[in-house]
Amino acid sequence: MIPVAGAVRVGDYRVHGFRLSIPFFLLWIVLAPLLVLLVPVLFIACICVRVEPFRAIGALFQVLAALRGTQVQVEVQNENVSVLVNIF
Amino acid sequence: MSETRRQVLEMLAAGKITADEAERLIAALEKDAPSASPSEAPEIGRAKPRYLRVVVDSDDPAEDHGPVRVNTRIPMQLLRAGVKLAHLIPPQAREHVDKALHDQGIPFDMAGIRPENLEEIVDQLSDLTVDVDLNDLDHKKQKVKVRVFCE
Repeated sequence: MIPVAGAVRVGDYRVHGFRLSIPFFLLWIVLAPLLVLLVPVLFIACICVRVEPFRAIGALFQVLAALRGTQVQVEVQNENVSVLVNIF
Repeated sequence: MSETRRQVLEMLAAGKITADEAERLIAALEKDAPSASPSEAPEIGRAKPRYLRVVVDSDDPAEDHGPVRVNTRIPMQLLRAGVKLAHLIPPQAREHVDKALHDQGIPFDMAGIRPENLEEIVDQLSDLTVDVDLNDLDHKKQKVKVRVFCE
């Protein structure tokens, strides 16, 4: 299943930082019509470089789906910098 | 080693049975008890690793920002999907990548990366823990600790 949401937290959001939630599912809804246009372009591109289009699209989808659970956290103690990126 | 198997081997050592008889007996024992030995039991119950974790702790007194901590959690599925995607790279582009890597002193053949090979590696990754402690790098009293493990 593709990611449905993401969260970015910068600094201590309770004090002076912020927390941003990104509802990916809304993004997918918005991008769906574009995807319909994009698929034929992808097909032509795949044929031009001699790659199986279905396998390529499948692999891209798998990469997208596998992003769920990714977490990146960076903390710099003295400068009170903290960045947390979560993909759900 | 099970007690019965030990007895068979002792009988073979004592010359009470021949090697062929011992082989047949051991085969029969294995057939009767197909379940894993106690030492192998945890292998079966062990869950496959789901995430690759890379944790870096760096403390460089020369820098003002103080200790830096980077903590990443990468789903194993992403590695699998990445390899599948890399496998789709056209041969002509693969040659360029191989050549560029070779020029950098990395003799790497991208054609050798196959999803089925990765499965074997990922299966073995549950036992992987890499701890790297670097102290006093270039006499700058910098300390870096890197941990790579699966969970």
